[in-house]
Amino acid sequence: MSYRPYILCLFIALLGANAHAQAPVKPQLEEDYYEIKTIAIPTDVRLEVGGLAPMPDGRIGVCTRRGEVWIIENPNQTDGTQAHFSLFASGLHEALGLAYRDGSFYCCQRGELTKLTDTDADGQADLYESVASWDLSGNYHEYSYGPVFDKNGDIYLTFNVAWVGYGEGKLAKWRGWLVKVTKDGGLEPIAAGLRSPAGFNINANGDILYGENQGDWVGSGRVTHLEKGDFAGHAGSLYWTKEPESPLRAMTKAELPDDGEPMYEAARKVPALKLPAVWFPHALMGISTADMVEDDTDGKFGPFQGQYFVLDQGQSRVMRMTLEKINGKYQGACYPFREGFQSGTLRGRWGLDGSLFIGMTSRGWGSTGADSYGLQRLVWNGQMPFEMKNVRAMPDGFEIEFTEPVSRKSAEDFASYALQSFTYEYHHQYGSPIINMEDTPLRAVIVSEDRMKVRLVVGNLRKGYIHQVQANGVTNDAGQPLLHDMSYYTLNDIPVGALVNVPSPVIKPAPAKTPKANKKAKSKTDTAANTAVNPVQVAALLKKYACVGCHAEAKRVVGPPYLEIAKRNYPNAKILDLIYHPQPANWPEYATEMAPMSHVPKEDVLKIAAWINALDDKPKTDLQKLDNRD
Amino acid sequence: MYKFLFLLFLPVAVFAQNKFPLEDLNAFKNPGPNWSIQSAVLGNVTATNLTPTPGKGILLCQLKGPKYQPTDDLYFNLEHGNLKLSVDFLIPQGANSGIYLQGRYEVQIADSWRVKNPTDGDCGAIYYRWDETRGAGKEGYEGHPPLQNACRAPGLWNHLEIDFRAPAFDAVGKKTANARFNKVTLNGITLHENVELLGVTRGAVSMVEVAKGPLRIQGDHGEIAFKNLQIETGERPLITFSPVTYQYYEGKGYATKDTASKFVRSGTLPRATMKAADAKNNIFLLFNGEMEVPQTDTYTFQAYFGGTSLLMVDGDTLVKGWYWVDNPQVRLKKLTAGKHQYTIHYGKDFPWGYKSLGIFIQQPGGLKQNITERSSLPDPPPIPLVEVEPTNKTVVQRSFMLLGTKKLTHVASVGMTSGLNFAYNLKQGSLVKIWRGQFLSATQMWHERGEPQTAEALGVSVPMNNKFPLALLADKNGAFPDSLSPQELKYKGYQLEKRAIGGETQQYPDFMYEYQGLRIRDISTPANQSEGILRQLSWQGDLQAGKQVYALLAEGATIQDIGANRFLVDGQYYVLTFPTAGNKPFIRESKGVQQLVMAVTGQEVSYQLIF
Repeated sequence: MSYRPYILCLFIALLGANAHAQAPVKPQLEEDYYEIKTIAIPTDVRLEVGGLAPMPDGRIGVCTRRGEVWIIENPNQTDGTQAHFSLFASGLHEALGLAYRDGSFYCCQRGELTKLTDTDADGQADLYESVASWDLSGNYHEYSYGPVFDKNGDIYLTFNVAWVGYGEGKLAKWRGWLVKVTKDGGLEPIAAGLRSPAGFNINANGDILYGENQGDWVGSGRVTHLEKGDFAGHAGSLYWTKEPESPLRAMTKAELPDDGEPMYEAARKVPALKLPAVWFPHALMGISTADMVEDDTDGKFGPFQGQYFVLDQGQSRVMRMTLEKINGKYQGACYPFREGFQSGTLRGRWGLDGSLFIGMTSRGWGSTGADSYGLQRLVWNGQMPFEMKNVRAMPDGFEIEFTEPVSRKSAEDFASYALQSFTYEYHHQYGSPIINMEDTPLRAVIVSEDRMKVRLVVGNLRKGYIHQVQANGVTNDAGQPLLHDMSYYTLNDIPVGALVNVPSPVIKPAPAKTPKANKKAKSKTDTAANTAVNPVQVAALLKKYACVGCHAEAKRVVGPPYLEIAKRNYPNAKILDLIYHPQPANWPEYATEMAPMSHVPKEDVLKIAAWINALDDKPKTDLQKLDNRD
Repeated sequence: MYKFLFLLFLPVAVFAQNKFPLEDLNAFKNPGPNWSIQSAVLGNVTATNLTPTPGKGILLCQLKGPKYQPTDDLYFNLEHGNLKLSVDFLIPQGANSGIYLQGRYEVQIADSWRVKNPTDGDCGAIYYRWDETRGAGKEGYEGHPPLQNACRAPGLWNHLEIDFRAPAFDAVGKKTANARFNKVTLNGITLHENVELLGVTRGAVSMVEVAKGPLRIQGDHGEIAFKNLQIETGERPLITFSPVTYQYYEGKGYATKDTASKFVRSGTLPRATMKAADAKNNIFLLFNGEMEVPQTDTYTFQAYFGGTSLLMVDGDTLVKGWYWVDNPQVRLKKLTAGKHQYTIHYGKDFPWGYKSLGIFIQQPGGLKQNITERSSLPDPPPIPLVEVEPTNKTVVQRSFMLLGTKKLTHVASVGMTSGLNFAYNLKQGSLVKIWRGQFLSATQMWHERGEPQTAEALGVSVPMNNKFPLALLADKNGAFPDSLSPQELKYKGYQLEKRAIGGETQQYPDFMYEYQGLRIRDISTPANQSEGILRQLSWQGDLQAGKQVYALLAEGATIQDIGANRFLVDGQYYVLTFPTAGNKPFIRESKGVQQLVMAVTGQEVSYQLIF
């Protein structure tokens, strides 16, 4: 069980409640609705999960980065019974994907899609058939993912580019591509521009959605709908557009705008460049996008049928994603959903009971979850969380649908919302700072009759921008705030339709940028903050800016612990500079590079810096306790 | 970065100073009649004798009289203390010999071929000690079995390297340091590393340990041949170092030019060390020192810097620039006997990494000596072995694998419970290497992540030609292609086939291909009594008209027909063939190498690799 970030939420919520002198309400916790069940792994099995394949009889196949395929019987461990592990196959090469079909497993190795069959019914594969084989240069970063079957039984795979100080696709054919396996074992290239496509999915409409990892040419994590001939943005794959089978015309890196303008602008110049359907803002919503699943559980997993759950390996979390089609193209929003998994959440697959198996590994990649590997299940316990069920684009703003009726008073209060928009740079450099952040002034709030929906009429809607839609002051009838009040909507296009007639001038003043809850925490401690380091306030800032996703006080997570940073004795101003312009070379032993965090206000960075520098001189504060995962 | 650091302390190659050409027996004290000089010897896997060819270059021992005569052993004129030795040896079946360092500490040489769990009497062991007062059956003690058996088959050449440190004594003769085997490797496999001996081993020339003793080879049991004998005694007079003066600055930049640097202090130290700096970063150190070199020679300097670097000797700049510690700089400089001045500058004005400064000097044939303080160069972090073991069943493990400098990307290594292993290139249907002993290190793949991601054979390996062994040729002179494209040779997978061999039923991968319209199967299993690997290739389908399937069984610089259907390839392994009445394998030349070729009659061909 993890209480990781919620103790802090509790703290802030209590402050807020006290300020209003109301009776305290019980805050919601993620675990009150979605329970994490840990599958007990035998001590001599290193289940570094690369792929999951639930079987129709209730067992589940698991392939590992060490090349084994395990079949786990009784994985739900019903009534406290034990799960049984048996080794089905072994010796595969960095197996990062598994599917079960017609009595065989299909496993994606680095250089081969392999069909594994037990022909003599002894429970172990004895036939390892090569379904398709492809070239590799031998670079470690040439990971291969899949297989994903479509309705016709056709198989799709995705291929990482190599890493040679930058992402390079030309070292082996079709690196950086989505490919389809032809009947004779050949590869048909479908779409280019992939960097590290660890998770992809074919949805109920038969459309292919893939998750991308932040890196060069990728300002932040994202999910993109891939159609034949699309170019998803990473230049490394373009080398192979010269091939006759390429569905893209021959293109080179030189044709790509590389001056850091937003991808939306770049796409105006490069018609093949496909915009992501949903951006997952770096650190705020994950740092390394992994698998995704579509909720087809018919309500067994809660109120989110037809939506998507997207995993983040580095932050050991599951996020939620909603999509809608505007003018024929997918776009939508992402939301926090569940944190606190034991290791790096790479794979997710539905179990027969509508629970979600989460397969994990962190070796060499790092993750918030401290274990090296693991397998857990996420189970909805039937209780209804108070959540933003869906955020949709409107011609003049957004509509938020809730899972419960909202209190009209809270929902009509303009101060219950925090709205702004921003985007990322498109360029060959690794990652991007948040750029062009602007307020989205609220002009009107319309609560539906049944109080299940709120329509926000706003100004400054910007096409191509990520719009933060936060409902931090909205409560239900019991006075509870939302379990998660944050969403990020990627507004590639604005639907046409009837506008709400908003009287002019604006009825009420637009809210300030700072979210309400933090403002309250701040007001309580402001005076102290001016003179001394306030660990409670800094804890709130670290949470607010998602620093805790990668850093803990004393322990190595994805990035270095604050105590290690403190030992470097940087002046506060230097820390400010490094947070705005990270120097990954300073920390060569950490695999994941930090993204520039230049959207964090200077005064907040300096508070954090002062706190870091004070760490060296005194006994540890209990920040680690706030950030505990026990 | 850690992976590079792992290689950090490899010794500089200044070995091989004292070669023994083995043109006569003059290097030895009163050699007995068993010892002779020859130009070549030929063994066979089952033969208990070696067949010599007259000439020069090989030292041969043959028993001319009864066994166990003390005068049979060969003593070098050389009396040695510290010693590095490198030699190739070849033994017939059942042989027993050994090399006694200082005549007292024996590295055993014996026919231990196919021994799975070697003892302290097997080949490569540091032989046990012997004390009859310990009681019957307990006389032998403190022996050191090799870490694994690395002995090749009888009649094949083995390569042995020994790095021995002699015991040390004080002025009154009291022992102050034990004899130690710094390292013993056989055929590239580490058998012992930093093992101290508390006394002499059984059969020592004397029970008394001394600073210097004669090198000795046992010659009283039977036949053994040696070649490529090289010795380095490390017995050069030591270089001496005077205390150094130092200046310590803090700040960015180069202290001698950059006025922003702040002088902190100066002083004198026994040796230069990065620990003279208080701060972790933004430091600059200048050292000036003097060393006295006893002999005029060309000396090797090896310099590890973690940052801004300068090394000057007698005003001559040897190293200058910015270097990280995983990239040691090696320079040669001639020094005359006498005193020499050196200057070291070390700066670190960046926050990452650790301070490190290590400068070494070595005279050819001498010890590597530290100019800097030992603790000035931190140890690289140790990396654990991640091993794949076929404990009770055949293991197949796919990986990248290096073939020379080329990275093969579709390799399946097969480890069998008999201790026989091979690496197989799925893209070429070819053997990459075969080996005995421990199976596979997956450390590079499974410890953390990153380059080079290769798996490595852990036992004694023999390289193979990495070529698909079958071809459809018009006649017996047709050429085998060097490699095949995936279109020409289509890999289809493998099936695990059950085979009962030597009373043990195991599964073995049967690799499947499509080639020229034929369906090929290729299975390798342990050969009879684990002598080697039996490879069986078969095909189904319709042959193109006018074509004949030929098999390329071996390639090498020299292939010798040694009778009984056996062929010796480069002295490294044997091929056992299975000819039929009208179809015998033949040796031919192709592009400067020799090839062992056989026509395939019927739809199957088998051959056995013995090693």
